[in-house]
Amino acid sequence: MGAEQECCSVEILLVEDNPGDVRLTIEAFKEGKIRHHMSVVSDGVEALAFLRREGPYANSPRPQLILLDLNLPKKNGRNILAEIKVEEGLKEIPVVVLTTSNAEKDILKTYDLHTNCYITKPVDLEQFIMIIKFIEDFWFSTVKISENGNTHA
Amino acid sequence: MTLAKVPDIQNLNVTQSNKLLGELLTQNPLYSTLFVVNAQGFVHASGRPLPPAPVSVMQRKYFQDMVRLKDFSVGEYAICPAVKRPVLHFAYPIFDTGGQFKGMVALSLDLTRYAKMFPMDQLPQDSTLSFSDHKGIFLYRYPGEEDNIPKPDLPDMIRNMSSQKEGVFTYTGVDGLIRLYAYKNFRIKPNEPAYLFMRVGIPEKKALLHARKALSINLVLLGIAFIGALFSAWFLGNAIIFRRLNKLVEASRRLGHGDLKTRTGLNHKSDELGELGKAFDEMAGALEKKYIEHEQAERKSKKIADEWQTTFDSITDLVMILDNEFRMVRVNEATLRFFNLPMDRILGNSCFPLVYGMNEPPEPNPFTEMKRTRKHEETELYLAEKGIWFFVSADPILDGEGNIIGLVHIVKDITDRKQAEEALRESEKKFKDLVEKSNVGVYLIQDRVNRYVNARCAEILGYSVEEVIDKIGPKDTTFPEDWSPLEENIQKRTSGEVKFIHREFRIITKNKEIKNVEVFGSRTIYQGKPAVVGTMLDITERKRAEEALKEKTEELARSNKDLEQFAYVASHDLQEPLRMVTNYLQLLARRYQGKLDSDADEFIGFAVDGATHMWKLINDLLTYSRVGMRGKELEPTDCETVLNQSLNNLEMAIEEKGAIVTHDPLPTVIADNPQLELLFQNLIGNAIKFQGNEPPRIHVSASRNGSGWIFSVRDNGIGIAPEYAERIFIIFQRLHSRKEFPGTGIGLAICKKIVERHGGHIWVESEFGKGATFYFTLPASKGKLLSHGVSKDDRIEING
Repeated sequence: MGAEQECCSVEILLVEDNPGDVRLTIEAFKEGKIRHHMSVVSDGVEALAFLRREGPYANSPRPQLILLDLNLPKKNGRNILAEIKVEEGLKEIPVVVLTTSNAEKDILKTYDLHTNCYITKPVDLEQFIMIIKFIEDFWFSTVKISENGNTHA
Repeated sequence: MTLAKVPDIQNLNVTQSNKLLGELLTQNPLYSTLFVVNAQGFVHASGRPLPPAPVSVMQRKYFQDMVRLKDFSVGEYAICPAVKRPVLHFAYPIFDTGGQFKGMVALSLDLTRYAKMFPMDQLPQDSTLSFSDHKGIFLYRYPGEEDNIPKPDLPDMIRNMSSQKEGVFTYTGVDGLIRLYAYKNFRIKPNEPAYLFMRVGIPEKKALLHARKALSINLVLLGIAFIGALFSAWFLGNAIIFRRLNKLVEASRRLGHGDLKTRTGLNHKSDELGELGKAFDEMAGALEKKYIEHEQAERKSKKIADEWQTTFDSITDLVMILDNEFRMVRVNEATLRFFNLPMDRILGNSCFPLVYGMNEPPEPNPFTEMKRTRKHEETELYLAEKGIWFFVSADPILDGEGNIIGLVHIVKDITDRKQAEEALRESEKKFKDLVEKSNVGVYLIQDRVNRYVNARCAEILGYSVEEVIDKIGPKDTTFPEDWSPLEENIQKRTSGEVKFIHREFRIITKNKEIKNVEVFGSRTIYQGKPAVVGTMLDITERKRAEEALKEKTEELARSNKDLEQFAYVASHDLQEPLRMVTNYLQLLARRYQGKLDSDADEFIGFAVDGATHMWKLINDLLTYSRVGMRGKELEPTDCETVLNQSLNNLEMAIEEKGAIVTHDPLPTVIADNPQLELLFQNLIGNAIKFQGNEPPRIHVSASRNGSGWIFSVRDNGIGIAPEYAERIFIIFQRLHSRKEFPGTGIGLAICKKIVERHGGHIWVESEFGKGATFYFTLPASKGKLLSHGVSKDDRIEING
């Protein structure tokens, strides 16, 4: 598996409007060990266009993991999540929701969206890096992702 | 004689005796007079009118015999002045109940008429009959002339008749005929001289002839025939006359001894002696009847008297019968009881000292007036000395001619009534003052018009009292838009459909000013008809103040909400940039620590520290504002589950400090589950954080308190000095430096806010260095909770 990971870069889509968070996420992943390619879009409309390969995103790669911020301009993360989870071809992609507080997490829970994972954006960088590493381990080391994107726990 | 036993006779009651004797005389024609004599010999009463001068019978034989023998006595030949014929007196003694001789009842027997009853025609021809008195004076003689000249009997005859009680002898009469005489004499007692002689004479020849019919055969039997003739003569006399007379006398004697059942036992034949017997029996019957009637009348009058006395004594008022000088002649039981005196201390004394404590009539008094008007008079009196109120009345007692001979004085103790009246008057005055001088309007509405208003009510309406009463009604002063429901209310109150009503409405005063009033009305009956009585308050000012207060309250609520919103938004939105600062400072530290100089490392360290603390502050502030802003609905919550959840959250701290947390069985309460969890978490977290010298030992318990629960979280930590017991619940207030104990100073403020949102309160009991116990209360039931717990706004927030 390690060989496979080394030869194959993991495709990640980060949906985040805050450049500070974008950079921080990128830096955190840099601290990780997994090879990856991270695409970044800054709002919900762009995110959906990217996933559907619409307009300028016609040749965009299909992400193997979506990191979704909830507070987005135009279309917020909750709406994007709802659309992704009903759309064939997209709903299989694991989504990690980045929240700024536990309260937002609670609200999200009430909508019963099939979110795979939540991460509260930590104030402690070390903690954030640990979480990113945990995600790496979880999604790319212990979870087998098939070619068509289906996940098997 | 029975008459002597009749009480009227015994008591020598003149009028009654006269009447009775007169009646008896009418019934018994054989008696020429019937009269009563007193012990001194004076005629006391008589069946016939008496001469004006006293009549004495002291010298008469029958009176003297009576005085001597105290028994039945018989007189002697006398001419009765009333009938002008010879009569013989019989007398019976009268004794009083003590056996004392009081006089006698006497009657005079008209022997002329008596003798005529004897059946002379049954006797042989030329027979004779005669009666004579003790002196031998003929009382009657047959044949003989009826004149009123006393004629003495022949001394021989008297002699012949005196030897034996009865017997026979022969004697040649003045007409030359030899007769066989049978005689009988009568005596009171055997050794007393005879008082009456009676004899029947039969001619000897006739007697012999009579005898020959039976024994004419031989002379031997002549003697026997002679004796038989004598016997026959005796027999005739005895059998026909004496025996019957004896019976009469005997009956009279028994009657005289009071045996009213006595009758002669004679056949009431049509002959005259039979008539006599009948007359006697009738007399005895009449006497008995009279006596029974008298006894009945006496019993009746006694009964009436008893009843009257009982009635008299049953009267609870003091009843006094006074004479003309106001002396008490008779008083009832109530009077004796009231003055607690025996009858003999009362009778004969003037009523004034006793009743009124003075010698003269009191003022006012009914006595003087009664004497003037001769009618019932009454008044009420207050006896200050005794503290008693009397109702007193005087009714005159008038004689046949209308003269006042006494009075009936009735006294009634009316102190209680008077006191009640006084109390009522005072009460009335009190209520009148209360209503008249009240600063609350009072009104009475009947038939759509104000029948009464007090000064204040009129003032509220802007009129004078006179302008309102009986002139204007509620419609005239009510704001038109408010009239319709008010009118309906007045009707419902008047009809009794609604007993009590409280309303607020607007009125228009006389000056066209609009005021707000509040009325409390209830149904009443005024002058026999339904009405509404109530009070009116001018609440115009209060209304204005209420409106102002309502506005202020709303404004305050709005501003409070704005403030909470601000705190929430501020803390929420500050999080993002702060996170940036923190994270990039950390990244800086991570990448460049040791690569710059030592100052840079230190600066970065302080920056990270400050940013981290600020992050915690903002996060706690957000939590704090979320308690009010983002609370969940309260619902039954099992405290043990919640506590366990809290302990899970604190697991790391517990492990690190080696804390032991125990708890009693905890109840289910109505609460916001996450907030309750946070409450326990903060309190237990604090207990762990403020550890003393020993490893933390924390105990949670709950006890019932009325409708709610008191929870306690007890620790063995450093404790809190009592002067800080209040301060620790204020936001950002800290007792220690962050170096000693890290923290933001919001934890207990959050606890306080959570508890208060649940309608409870929180406090701490502690001494510095001796551990602390935090208490908080939670209501047990939802109903109680909603009344002072969750506000409407909170719930809207949750649902939205």
